[in-house]
Amino acid sequence: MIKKIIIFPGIFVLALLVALAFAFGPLPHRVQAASQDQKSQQDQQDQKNNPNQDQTQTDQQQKKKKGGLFGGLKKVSGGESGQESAATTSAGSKSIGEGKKIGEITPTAADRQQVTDMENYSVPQSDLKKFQEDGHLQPKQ
Amino acid sequence: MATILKVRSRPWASWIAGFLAVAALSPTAYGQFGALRKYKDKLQKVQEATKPMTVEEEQEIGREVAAKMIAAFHVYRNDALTRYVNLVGASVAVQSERQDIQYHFAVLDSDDINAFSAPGGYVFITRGAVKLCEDESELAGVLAHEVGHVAGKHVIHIVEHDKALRAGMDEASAHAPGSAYLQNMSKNILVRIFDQGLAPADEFDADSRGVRYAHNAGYPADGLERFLVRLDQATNQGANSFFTRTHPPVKERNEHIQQQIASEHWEDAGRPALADRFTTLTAMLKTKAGT
Repeated sequence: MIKKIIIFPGIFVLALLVALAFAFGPLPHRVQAASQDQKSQQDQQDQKNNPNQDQTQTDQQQKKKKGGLFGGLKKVSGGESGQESAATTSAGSKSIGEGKKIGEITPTAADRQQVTDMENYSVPQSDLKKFQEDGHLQPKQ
Repeated sequence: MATILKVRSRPWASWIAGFLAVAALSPTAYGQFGALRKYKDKLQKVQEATKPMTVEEEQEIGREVAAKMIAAFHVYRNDALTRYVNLVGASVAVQSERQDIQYHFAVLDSDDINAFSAPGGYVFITRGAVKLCEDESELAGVLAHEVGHVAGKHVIHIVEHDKALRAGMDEASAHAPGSAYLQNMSKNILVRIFDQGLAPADEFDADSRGVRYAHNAGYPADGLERFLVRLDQATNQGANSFFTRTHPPVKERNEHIQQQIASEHWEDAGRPALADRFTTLTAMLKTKAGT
């Protein structure tokens, strides 16, 4: 008994092109791996340049995680008031050394106005000159 | 059993094969170009993030840091003291080599003994630190040290290299007061100033600059040194542990200052320390309730 197998020439072309695609094409996992590799190299470089940044980023990541867990609770209790209570604690105790707490404060419009007042406060040159003369200061010109 | 292999020519089959091959290759080709585009964008962002900070950007960040400091400690409102601190501050700031920004001075309503500066020229001294001074040259030394931090761009150099922090700075919304970008940046600066401290080299540099500014303003060059001795005594009594945590030891700092004064021949006796003027113009601090 004779069995006939018919082969179309297109099959050869298809097989060749698919093989080429797999051999040289950047498959998704390869792209991802390359990207992760570059990110890891960049992170290592960043760490070398600024060792403290790593700590800050870790803190931020931890915060993000915390935010994910307690996000709902924060909404119920009110995010803004939470920030205000941190500010009040800081301002009330007048304790310095709590950069993180101070950093989380949301300044009010009045606070920002005081910064503007500080910027607008200037000592006239004539007053400065008189002040220096009164104190017998002889500044380097 | 015999098998016969027969190749049959069918043109449409080649077309289907070609179509299928193109379809198979397209996603990878797209992926390749997409990845290249992504890398290009990333590279561009890194380049943008590491470029030097403009004065405007520095001031925006400084304004945010200053607002948070004021929100936390409040400004001590006394016109006479504000004027006096600004006059002494301006006397030393005018001697700074950095004149592309304006320096602003304010007294914070805190018993703690400290002084801070934010990028953009915002200088704060606490009521407690003013009280600890014994004469005007000491106040000048402390303010000059803070001006030195701004002039040396010590904080700015840290954030300039923080690519993660500067990501998104080019978005228009990033520059609005209270924006996420400014919030994040100012928070990191405050953590650095209050919790971690600057690099010892930056503190020594600010001391060196401060001594020079005070000397060039006409004050005795050792004002900061005398203040630091008194601060050290207060610290040893446990009054201010923050200072020891974030600054190099006072003994080491004063050794550097003494070396600088000796090498520059600035042991100028006869320069006015202005103790009387200082006592008169800060008298209100002695009468404040509870102080």
